[in-house]
Amino acid sequence: MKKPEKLTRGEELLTQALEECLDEDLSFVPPDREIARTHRFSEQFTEFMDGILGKKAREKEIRRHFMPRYGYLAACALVFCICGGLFLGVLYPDWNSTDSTADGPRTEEPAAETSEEAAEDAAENAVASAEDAVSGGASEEAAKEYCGQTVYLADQQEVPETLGGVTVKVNSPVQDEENPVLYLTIGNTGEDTVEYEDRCALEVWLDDGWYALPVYEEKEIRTGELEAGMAVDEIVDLSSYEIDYSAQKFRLVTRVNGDKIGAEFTFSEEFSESMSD
Amino acid sequence: MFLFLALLDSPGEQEKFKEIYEHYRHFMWYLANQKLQDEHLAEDAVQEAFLALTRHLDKVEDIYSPRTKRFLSTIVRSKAVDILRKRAPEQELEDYMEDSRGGTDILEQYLRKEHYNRLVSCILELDDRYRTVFEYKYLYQMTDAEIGDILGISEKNVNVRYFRARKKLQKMIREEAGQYEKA
Repeated sequence: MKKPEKLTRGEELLTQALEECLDEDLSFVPPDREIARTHRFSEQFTEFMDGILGKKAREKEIRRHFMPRYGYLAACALVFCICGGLFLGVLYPDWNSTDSTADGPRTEEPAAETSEEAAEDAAENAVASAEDAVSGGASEEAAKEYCGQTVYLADQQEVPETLGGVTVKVNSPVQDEENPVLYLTIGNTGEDTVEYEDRCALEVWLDDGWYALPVYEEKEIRTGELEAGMAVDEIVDLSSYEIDYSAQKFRLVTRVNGDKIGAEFTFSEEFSESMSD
Repeated sequence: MFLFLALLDSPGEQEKFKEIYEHYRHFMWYLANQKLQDEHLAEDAVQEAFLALTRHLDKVEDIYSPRTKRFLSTIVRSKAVDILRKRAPEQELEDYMEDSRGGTDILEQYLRKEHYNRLVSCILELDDRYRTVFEYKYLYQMTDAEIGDILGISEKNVNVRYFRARKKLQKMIREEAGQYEKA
């Protein structure tokens, strides 16, 4: 900013007073982290600011640059096929011959290859299904009846609570049966901005593993960015689920940078009873 | 929108603007929301403030300095005031004509060291519409044209607002002094 022009003594005093007042006002502003916890900018706002920041323009430019031109691709493929056909025709002029003696060995060889491949595939499938069983992969057999609904084994049984610099906690200081909600707080204590999904899944522990509870109202998954040192709350409306609130373990799972992360919790006895009533 | 993109064409400016946005957006939203008591209107005020900033980015030297923080707070507060006032269109020019007929501007007489504490308390009480004009003029040394550009009003209206701000402050100090003497 440019240097102040000549001010009268009175104006200097006014400047000093203005500065003091402004500093006093700003001293009441809470830290960014707290503000960010209470307010998440709307999509319209973010889009508008992305526009000013030029992100949109850059993305558009990149898309335009790499946009496949299907007409050109089709023409190239056609030319390639024609050239390839002509080339093969020159190399193997009798390829289309109906001579059965010539066909014999050629048809036997691929058949042998096919049977070998099939054997390899079968072996690979067997290994894959064994791995699935170890990691707890979802399968049709891993289903249970729970609260009058079918629940399936969660596709990932071991979910960390802390991943890189990101930690999640289930938060619900006061449970109100009229408005049963939980908060999954995602805190980024790392140094980099991370991407998170703004939807989380509720899972319940039943005898042998974690099972995903179906939700009444599916919500569109959106991703958001969580800067270093910031935290965000995801709200889970329990009324969207059919839940048996009696003593069971639950967990909320979301994705951060594409990886699953989650936190376990149980409902208090009082709340379980009030919800059962 | 393309105009604003064009204004931030240089990579240096883009980077500077982005850094300011990342660092101050929550702070600015909080100030706007304090004034407007409406989350969405507060976002509108922040948007307007950033748009105005694209044209006055040269006023920001050190992004993390207290001066920049003050400057951004002034812009967003004045944008919030604008939003509030759009609901009740101002009659500044008419008021100005009336004010200019009645009495002279003697604020300078009150701006003395012995009145400093009174001055501070009056500024804290002063309507943000007037206070921000003072801030633009004295804290950031902006011309009437620059202030008008940020506020989206004519130079003449900036002058009107400034004149009224002085009158208002003068009146407040006089009243405060009167109360002090009575006590």
